[in-house]
Amino acid sequence: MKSRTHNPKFSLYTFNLRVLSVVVVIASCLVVLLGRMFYLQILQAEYFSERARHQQQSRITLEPRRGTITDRQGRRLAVSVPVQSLYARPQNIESPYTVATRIAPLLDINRDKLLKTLRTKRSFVWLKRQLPPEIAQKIKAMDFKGLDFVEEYRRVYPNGEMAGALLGFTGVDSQGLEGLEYQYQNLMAGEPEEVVVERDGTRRVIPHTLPHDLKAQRHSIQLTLDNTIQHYTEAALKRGVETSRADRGVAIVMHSHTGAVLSMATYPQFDPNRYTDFDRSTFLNRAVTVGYEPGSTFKILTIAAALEEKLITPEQEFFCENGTYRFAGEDFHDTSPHENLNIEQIIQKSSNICAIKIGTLLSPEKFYEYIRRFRFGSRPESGLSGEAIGRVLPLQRWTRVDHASISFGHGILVSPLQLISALNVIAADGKWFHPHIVDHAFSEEGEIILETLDEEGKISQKFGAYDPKQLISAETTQILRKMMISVTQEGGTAVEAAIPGYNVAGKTGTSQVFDEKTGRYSNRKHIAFFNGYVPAEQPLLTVLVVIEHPRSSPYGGKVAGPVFKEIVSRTFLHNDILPELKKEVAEVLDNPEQG
Amino acid sequence: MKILLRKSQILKTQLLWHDPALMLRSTLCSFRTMVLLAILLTFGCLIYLWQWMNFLQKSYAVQSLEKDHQQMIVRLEMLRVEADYLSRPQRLETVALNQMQMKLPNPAQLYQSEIFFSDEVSHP
Repeated sequence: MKSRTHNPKFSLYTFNLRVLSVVVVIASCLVVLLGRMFYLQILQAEYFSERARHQQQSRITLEPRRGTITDRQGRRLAVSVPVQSLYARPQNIESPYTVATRIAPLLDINRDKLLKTLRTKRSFVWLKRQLPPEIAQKIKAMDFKGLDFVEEYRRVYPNGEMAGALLGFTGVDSQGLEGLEYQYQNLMAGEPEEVVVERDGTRRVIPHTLPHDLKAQRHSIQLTLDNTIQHYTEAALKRGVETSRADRGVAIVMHSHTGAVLSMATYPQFDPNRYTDFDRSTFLNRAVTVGYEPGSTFKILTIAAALEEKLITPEQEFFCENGTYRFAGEDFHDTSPHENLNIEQIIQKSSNICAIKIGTLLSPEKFYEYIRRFRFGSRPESGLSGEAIGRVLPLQRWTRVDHASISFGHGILVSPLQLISALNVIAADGKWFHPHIVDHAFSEEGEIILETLDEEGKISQKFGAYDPKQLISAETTQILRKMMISVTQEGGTAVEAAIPGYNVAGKTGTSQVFDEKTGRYSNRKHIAFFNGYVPAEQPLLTVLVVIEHPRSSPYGGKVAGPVFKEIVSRTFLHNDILPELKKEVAEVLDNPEQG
Repeated sequence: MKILLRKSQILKTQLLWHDPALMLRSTLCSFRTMVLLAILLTFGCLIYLWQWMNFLQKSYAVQSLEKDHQQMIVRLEMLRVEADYLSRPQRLETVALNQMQMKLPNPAQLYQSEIFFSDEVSHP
């Protein structure tokens, strides 16, 4: 009898059964797998997508880098450099004591204070921001857990104190706090940019996920300032203030035929790299923010107005009352008594009394109109922050004494920038050139920007030179030029400002300081001015020097004149504007035998 | 024609089920094909993976070089700032006056004159 197991039919049956079993098992597994896949991919898709995104992707914030400030030749005056800032996650630090002991000397922080910081329960604390690279490198090498660095930018002013009050400075978060840094914050700062990148298992950024077309939304600005002329101005001003034992000083150099400010100096100065070490009063850019009574420098404008209105002639003489003149119940004085003086002599000797007589020839309305025409009482809009409007009495409040006082530069407050801009009209053949300090702004791609628009599409900032406006006739300025040259020649009030080989046209000024305690003008405190342009025939530079409270002499010619001379001499020499050969020397060189 | 083919396949399958040896031979034959296909597929995947890994590695290398480049740029900028600091006019003047015993030029020493710069001056 054949056994059942040896039956071929039975064998085939069992084989089929086994195959079927395997197929069922595999099919069941596949069903389970498909079910799981359905669960993961369809039902839980959103949850796992989110988790994957969380693991793989991260946001990187690219900190904005502030634009640079350069001088007219592209030399950098303010630049941002990357630095490392150290922070701690106190909960991750294993041994706060060891960390504090080792890094406290490097950070120049008291160890106990640092230890206290490291033991706080906060999740994040700054330890020190903007570390020097070598210190950051040393701390990185220690490889402490719980300490990390963030790259930030630090503002550096390579020229130190130079133009400090003009440039201003930024805070620790790179926000502009003073000067041009504050004024052009929106333009230069840029905005932080956030990008999403993917990371691999070791948290490295997967290269192709980092966008390459990131463009910084920041701008740099190029000034009209000249680094070298700025140095000459500051050096001369410092010498002038120290020699005259004065409190402060201001000097501005302007290009006569564009209105571009080539240098703007104040003394005492401060270093914007370490502004916290200096007194806050030094941060003030006195060239634009402070109003002074311009004194005798204003007489030029009074005489210009009278000449323009043809109320006087250059040859006309005025009696100067021998030094004392009673007008509208007030006594007015000259520094020395004079009898009859013509217009040139009035400017040369700087007679207050004759200036009153000329000024009062103009009606108050006309005189006021000329004052406003020279832009006194309105903002110069030079592109600098904190510009003073000055103070011009409203016409309705003018008394006869005010009229007389303003004629020789008292009873009116003007900023040095307003004054030099107005006096530059004489140098520029009667044309008004808008004073400006920012030549242009430029983007990272080199696109030059000459104006910026506000949200409404209106021009909010305009850079560079404007078209000039004719304020007075060229004939009037030519008459004044000849008279102003006499100021720096023998017998004038500013012989110290004369420069051999050039004709210097100028005007001195000395104003007394109004003492608010006594309600009177102080006899001891003065402001000394000298304004001039040179070469007188074809002016290139217009310079204003203001010395506050000089003690050696109150007179502008004596105190501010030498500062003017030094600035112009060095600037001309540096720019190869050489003096003309003296006539007698030229004759000798032409005919050596006669010599 | 299709019906005939289908019938022949059914017959062949029935035959295979009734002849295990034939079925095994046939399976082995198709297994070889499967293995060959699997090997080819695996190689294809490996080649794809290799080139992807290679691309990633190169990308990391490029990223690292870009980082080095950035650091070099930063270093260069720092050096430029240092150069600006060292060549600032105040410092140069102090060095010239104090260390090199130079003197400030006197404007009176220089004049512009057609005599000195005339066209008659001949050059060797």
